[in-house]
Amino acid sequence: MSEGDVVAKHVENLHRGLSALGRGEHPIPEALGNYRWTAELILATWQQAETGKPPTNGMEYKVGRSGGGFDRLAFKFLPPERRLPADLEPDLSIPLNRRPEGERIDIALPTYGGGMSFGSVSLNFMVARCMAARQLGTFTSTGEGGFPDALLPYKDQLITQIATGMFGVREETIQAARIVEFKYAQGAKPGLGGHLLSDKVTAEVARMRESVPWASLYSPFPFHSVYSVEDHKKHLDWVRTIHPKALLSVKVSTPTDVDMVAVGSYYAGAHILHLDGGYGGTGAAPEVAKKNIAMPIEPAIGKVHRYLVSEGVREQVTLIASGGIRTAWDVAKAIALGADGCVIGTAEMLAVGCTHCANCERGRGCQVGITTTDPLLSQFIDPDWGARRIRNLYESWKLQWRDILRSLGLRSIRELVGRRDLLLYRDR
Amino acid sequence: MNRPVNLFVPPWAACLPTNGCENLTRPGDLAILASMYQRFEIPTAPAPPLHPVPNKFLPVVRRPGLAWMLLREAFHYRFQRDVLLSRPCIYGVFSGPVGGFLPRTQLCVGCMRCVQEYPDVCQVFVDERWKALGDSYFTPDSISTLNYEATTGKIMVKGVGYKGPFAGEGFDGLWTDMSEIVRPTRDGIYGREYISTAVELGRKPTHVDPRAETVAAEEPVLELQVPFLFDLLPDACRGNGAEAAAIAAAARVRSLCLLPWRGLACAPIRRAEEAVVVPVVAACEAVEAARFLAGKAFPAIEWTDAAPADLPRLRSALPGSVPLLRVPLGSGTSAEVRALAAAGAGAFHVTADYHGRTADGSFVKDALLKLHDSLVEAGLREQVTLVASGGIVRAEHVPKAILCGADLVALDTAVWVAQGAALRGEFTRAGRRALDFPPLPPAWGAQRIVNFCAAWRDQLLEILSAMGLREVRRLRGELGRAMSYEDLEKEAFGDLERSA
Ligand code: SF4
Ligand code: SF4
Repeated sequence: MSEGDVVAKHVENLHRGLSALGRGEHPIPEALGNYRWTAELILATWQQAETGKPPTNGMEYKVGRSGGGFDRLAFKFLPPERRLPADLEPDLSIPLNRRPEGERIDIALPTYGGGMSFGSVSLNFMVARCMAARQLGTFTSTGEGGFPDALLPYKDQLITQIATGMFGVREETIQAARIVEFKYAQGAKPGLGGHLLSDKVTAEVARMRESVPWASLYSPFPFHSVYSVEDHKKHLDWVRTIHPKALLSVKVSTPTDVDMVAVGSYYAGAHILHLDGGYGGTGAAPEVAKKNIAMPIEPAIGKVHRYLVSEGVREQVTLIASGGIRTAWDVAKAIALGADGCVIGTAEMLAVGCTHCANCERGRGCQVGITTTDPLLSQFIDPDWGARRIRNLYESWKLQWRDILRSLGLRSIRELVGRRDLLLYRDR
Repeated sequence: MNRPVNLFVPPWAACLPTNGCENLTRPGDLAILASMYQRFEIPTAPAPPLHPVPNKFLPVVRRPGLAWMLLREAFHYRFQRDVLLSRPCIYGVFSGPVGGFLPRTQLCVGCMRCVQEYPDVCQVFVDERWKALGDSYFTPDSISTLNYEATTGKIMVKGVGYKGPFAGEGFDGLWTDMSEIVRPTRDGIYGREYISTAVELGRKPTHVDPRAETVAAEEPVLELQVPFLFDLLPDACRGNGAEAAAIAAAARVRSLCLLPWRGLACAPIRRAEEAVVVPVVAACEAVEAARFLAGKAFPAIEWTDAAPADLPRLRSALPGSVPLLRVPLGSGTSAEVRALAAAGAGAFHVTADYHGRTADGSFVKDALLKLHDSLVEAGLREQVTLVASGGIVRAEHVPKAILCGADLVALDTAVWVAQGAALRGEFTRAGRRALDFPPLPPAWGAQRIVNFCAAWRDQLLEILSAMGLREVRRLRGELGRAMSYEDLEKEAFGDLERSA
């Protein structure tokens, strides 16, 4: 048997099926989707990844039916005659460094890719994300555990992570990236540290993480060297010593005192405050943690934004939100609540065929080649194809953001930051 | 009469392995045995359900479509056997002798790849039998989770974020806190540090006598290793093995099991397990039952038709014990419990229906908060134990009930569903035909209960470690470490213009 022929057969089928389902040519499968990612949102995302345009299949592509948060927010658009002309292209770029010193880095759209580590996702998918980030003029995060050499050609697009397990943290990996992110916590399992199940710790993953093949890896929680903001500052100073030009991002979860945490991180020297709300995440997590620990991202954004404003430091830090941000509309609402931009993970997986089935940790891993290290399944995502689909999704989002901005009379996405007055809260 | 009872001699100490200390047999030696350091763990073992629980996903293959597809592919791939036989399902649903013509539906995990590859041939439905599990409160999803926990003893771990509604009623409108830096750590779960899930039952002393030789309470105080015990089984479901299973499980998880006192005398309870049984008696029968209850440290008394004035009579009928007063939650509960606590009652079991609703229609979470606050206000909270029951059907409900003010909870429907009971219609009260509970081997039932208790305790540890708490006792009433939907919604969106 030629393994190549087997892969080719399934890839051909998958591509054809994604396309047909996205166009709405078949009945919506009853078992597809859930409250947050409804079947229509999933299919609409597949279609956008195919066409690069907002869906035309009549499916709901803006909100889910979770009954709260983004799903109850809407915009107060201007009457049609007061909107900006259709040929005006509002600026979508955002700055990642708002401090007076350090490298200026602007990204062309208000999002970048969230951390997905080598081992938790396939190498082909990682490369696809990097390629898309380069084409779009933005960044993507390697997650914890270092990154393989195959990503070095994309190092200008890379954010590398230092997480509590310190897996794969080496001077070379830090020096190669333009942005270094300290992962204190993550929304999918706030307060619980990373979790890479044994099946995914291949020899290659173990080599990079300097661990034992096929043994589960639990990152401890928290950083055992950080028990205060002063300790936290020492961490940032340590990276500044190794890589003085790097922008520093601090990724935290959303506890009750998230506003204090954010201000502490600002004073410790962070350029980017990355809040990761409780409902998102792409990695393995105990179900109990996803739903119950730490607040969802929507209330956290406003809380932190307002506190940073009241402390007089909001203009000097980039506030990035993540955790359950699914659509272009969610991003725009997060910005209106006070974020500068968002980190996207799951939607990028959806772009290449993810069904939000949550079987990532079962058996051989993801059946369509995303969250797997299985040698055969990993081949299902050709990096060029994956990059094209991720880019298309964002091209569609860009059209939607520009439309939203024109309808609000704004010329730049930066003007939308913290404009709560432009939001409506829907009754149930 | 003050009868000093050592604080930490648990009744199940008699069931502990003696580890070479067989000669420690006198009652006083039990204290030594129990105090020997032992990290508490709940040993689990696989216990698959006796009857298959319906699977959520039901893959359906259109047979004519499949035949046509096979023919088409045969030509397209030039009869290359391995390519033709390579199927879309990696979970073996189509790997039976006749492949997709007779799918093994029980193996389906709903990954949808078959639909993605062959949307004109395959469909995946949500099985009607799965949808019919449970009721509007104990949802099919909660039942599937419990079944997994009871089968494996493990926490359910999955990928890609949360899939449910933003928030819900009752416990679903509450989030627990986490701390970014200051804490004992997750290491507690993996063995390097210890996070305690032990709680005490009884009326706690308000002072220590410095002249006394040992720290002793005037009344019995019992330490349980988990903050839950097992509630009364509905009358109609007795005699199927579930009671014996719950008693055995209570002994293994170092907890207690409530049983009606009538019938206990003839129930086949092993001597070593007698200590975990809490007899339940109606207040009006307590005097009559006094001889039978003698020596029981914590008899439970149904306090439905009794008044605080009845308490002294009850206490004198049951000297040396702390009656656990079972009080239904309702509008007057706070005042009643406060009066009873002021009159010397030491332990309460406040009850709501199986959906967590109280007599006045509020949810157990809100009723508990009110009760806890009222006892704090009266300066009585530290002295009494509050056990709460009603609506505790998922692991996270335990810490959330404790956050709202309970010391521990009593488990009901979850224990029975774990042992294969099926709810018939909306199961809010123990009606005659509300529960379909087939006979079961007690050893199997006990293992199922032990397994889910182990998984629930592990999830409690996850929540405690995320909050930075070393012991569950510190969680009680700590609302500052929780976030409610109402508060968050007001703070986050209260200033926004509303629209229909
Ligand atoms: S296993 Fe399912 S949820 Fe996970 S990446 Fe694959 S398709 Fe998505
Ligand atoms: S949905 Fe997935 S698991 Fe179920 S039959 Fe289809 S391919 Fe197999």
